[in-house]
Amino acid sequence: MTEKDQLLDDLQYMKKIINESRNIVIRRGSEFIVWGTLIVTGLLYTYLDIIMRGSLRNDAAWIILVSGGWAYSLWRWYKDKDHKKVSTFSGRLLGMVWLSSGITLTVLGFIGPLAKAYSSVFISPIIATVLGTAFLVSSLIYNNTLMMKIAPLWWFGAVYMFFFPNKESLLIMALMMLFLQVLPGVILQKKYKTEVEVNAQ
Amino acid sequence: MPSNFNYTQIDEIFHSRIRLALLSILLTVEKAEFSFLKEKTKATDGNLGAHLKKLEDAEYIQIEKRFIDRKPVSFYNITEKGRKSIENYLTLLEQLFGKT
Repeated sequence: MTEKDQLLDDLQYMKKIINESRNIVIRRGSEFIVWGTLIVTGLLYTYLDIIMRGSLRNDAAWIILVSGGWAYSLWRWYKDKDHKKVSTFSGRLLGMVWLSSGITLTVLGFIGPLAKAYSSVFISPIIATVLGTAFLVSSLIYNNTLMMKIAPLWWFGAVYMFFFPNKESLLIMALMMLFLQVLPGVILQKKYKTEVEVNAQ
Repeated sequence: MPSNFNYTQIDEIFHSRIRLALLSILLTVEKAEFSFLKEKTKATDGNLGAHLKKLEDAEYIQIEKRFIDRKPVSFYNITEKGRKSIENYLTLLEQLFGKT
């Protein structure tokens, strides 16, 4: 091999390493599962509350459920912050996408209806719209086609719920949460476990 | 190839495949733990440690040592000097192969 061939080979090698390392994002799916399950619980509880004509105090239930979600996210962040083997811009960006989405959803879910900016029946479609955005942006960072396919489904659901705002939209939102949030969370968690096991070998 | 290209202009640091890989990885991530670099370069602990030391001595990388769960953990990141050296290396290669 001539010196020129060697240098060309080095260049190809660098390119390969850079491409492999650039978008390393290892993310747990457990937050998707926990948040999704909590929101499904809240939606079903609210549906029951409506059927039982407001005897169940669903506002208190939502405060407890959402606080639980934030407590879990905070605990997860604290447990993981020192155990990351690598820190990338993509990873931080992904974290920020979901942190900002979480704050946005909390504000839209609680403050909007409290300030009487919109009726609580529109919380579900508004949340679905934001989640569509979060999933699409994440799909690009995470290089995940499943997330990319999920994003428009959130938006289709949002459009439907905006046009047909009734108590059944709570059930539709619960189903969307199960199939478009919890289920992808399970897939992500399996992928995370596989990647961690491979890295541990 | 330009007739005036001089191979001796290439920084001696880049003569090693592992050091080249280490700098390439650290160029793309913000910081990386020793075990991550080991996994990516498929080097042994001793070999990797020696190459990292050489890069550290050249001030191309920085090391941050921390105790996590009472175990010492080393994180590495590239310095501005290291980043510039890679730029220079790539400029030299560009001279050699043209902008194609």
